[in-house]
Amino acid sequence: MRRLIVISAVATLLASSASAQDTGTGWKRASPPTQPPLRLFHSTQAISLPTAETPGKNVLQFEISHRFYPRFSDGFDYLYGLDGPALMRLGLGYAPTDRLVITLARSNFGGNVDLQGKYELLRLRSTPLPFKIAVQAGGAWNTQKRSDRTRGDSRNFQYYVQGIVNTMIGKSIALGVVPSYLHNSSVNTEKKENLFAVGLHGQVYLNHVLSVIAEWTPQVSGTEVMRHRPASFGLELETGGHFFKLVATNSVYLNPSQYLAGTENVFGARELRFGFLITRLLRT
Amino acid sequence: MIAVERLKHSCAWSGYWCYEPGNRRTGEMRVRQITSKFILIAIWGIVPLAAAGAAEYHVDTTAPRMVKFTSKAPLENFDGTTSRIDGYAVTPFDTLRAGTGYDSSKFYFEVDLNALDTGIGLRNRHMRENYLETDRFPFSQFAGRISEAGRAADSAFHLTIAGDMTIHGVQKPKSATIQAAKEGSRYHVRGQFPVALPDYKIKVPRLMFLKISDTVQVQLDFYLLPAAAAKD
Repeated sequence: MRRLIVISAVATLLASSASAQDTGTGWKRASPPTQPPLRLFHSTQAISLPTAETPGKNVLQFEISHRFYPRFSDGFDYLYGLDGPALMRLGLGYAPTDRLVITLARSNFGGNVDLQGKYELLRLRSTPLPFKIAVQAGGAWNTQKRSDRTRGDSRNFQYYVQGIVNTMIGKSIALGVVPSYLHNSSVNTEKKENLFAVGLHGQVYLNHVLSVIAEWTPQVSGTEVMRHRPASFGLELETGGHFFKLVATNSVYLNPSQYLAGTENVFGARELRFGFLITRLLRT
Repeated sequence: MIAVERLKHSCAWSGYWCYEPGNRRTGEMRVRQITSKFILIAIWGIVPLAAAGAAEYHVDTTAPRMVKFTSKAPLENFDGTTSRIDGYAVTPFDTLRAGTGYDSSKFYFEVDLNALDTGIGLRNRHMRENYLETDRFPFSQFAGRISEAGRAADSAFHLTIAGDMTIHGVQKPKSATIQAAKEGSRYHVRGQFPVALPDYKIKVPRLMFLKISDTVQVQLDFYLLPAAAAKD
């Protein structure tokens, strides 16, 4: 009798260990659940400043941006800032790997052709604050014909490097710091000046589509030419492969070697101008 | 294992737990009754199944596996793929055969939705966070049994499988026709069926751009390996 009890107890143990798998079979999940990649900001850029995000391997990113010269405050005669002229930027980026993106862009201000690379260095899934760190570097060639120099004159070339540190508070507030160094900050001067700026930006994601976005790029040194600090704020709409950003700003400059140098307009209600940015992601 | 499964659901099982050590007399009587029941049921459970030659198969995770969904919408067609399907199938026979008798068959397949790749990181993120909510529902599951089996060729079958499909935490009855072809000791399983996203309370975005179709086509392609050969 006792032996039978022991046998049944052993059988029970065996049975319960089998039922722990919950399938009644010898099957077990072969590998642990996939962890999705760490993503903080949704877009690869704030307004002008870059985020640490890249589009991901084999994805093309097309971009078109405008900044209008007239101010909102110019009123009815300039359709409240929506009349031209406007500065515009066209860009095309390609991501050969998950961490790298190469972008070629042109701004019609000075015929500024910009070639840059952004590389994501570090993803840190730390709590409570996860971090992403990236570096962006590029060169710009101001191709506009000038009477005082040839197109290929070295004074027409500008170079920059930007460190990018991103973090996210909870699931809806993303913050970025972008220390930036620019060589030859003004193509109009004889002497090539260096400039150091610290870009700051933040974004609050309100729902799956809408977010509020703001950035400020104070120049720390080398601000002789443009005395004021560019600041922008606006809304970002995200749908499928698109981002739409509608902004108010005191700077009309679009390419990194241009917006990093500051703006001639003070940041105040009278000097705000309208700008937009549309990006489209395409799978290759 | 199957015998154990049956035992688990038998009255002997619950009876065993009724045994209270504090009440020795009742307990001992109870154990005596239960032990005899246990033996009877063990015999009843093991013998017929052993004779039937039930076979257990696992998804061969070393072979190519593919799950793909295709969305066709007016503005944009896209698809998402992953290799992360896993699971098992048990049939009452050593090998598949046409006809009926599949009542005791069962299968369970799961797809790791966080591994779905549409080719664009941002779209993957939207899919995970806005629609599938994979932080809460990381897996899609399909569990049930074979309800019909017909022979398509010498060692190829078309099977109707029926059960419950769970996506986005919503469980719905589902049946699908799949093909299973014997290749060596394995079965090559292929199938395609539609999945209506609103059935699973997946909100299809309509506000700005209609970019996902209400119904997506799901394709499966993987191998089932006899459980004895599958590494655990």
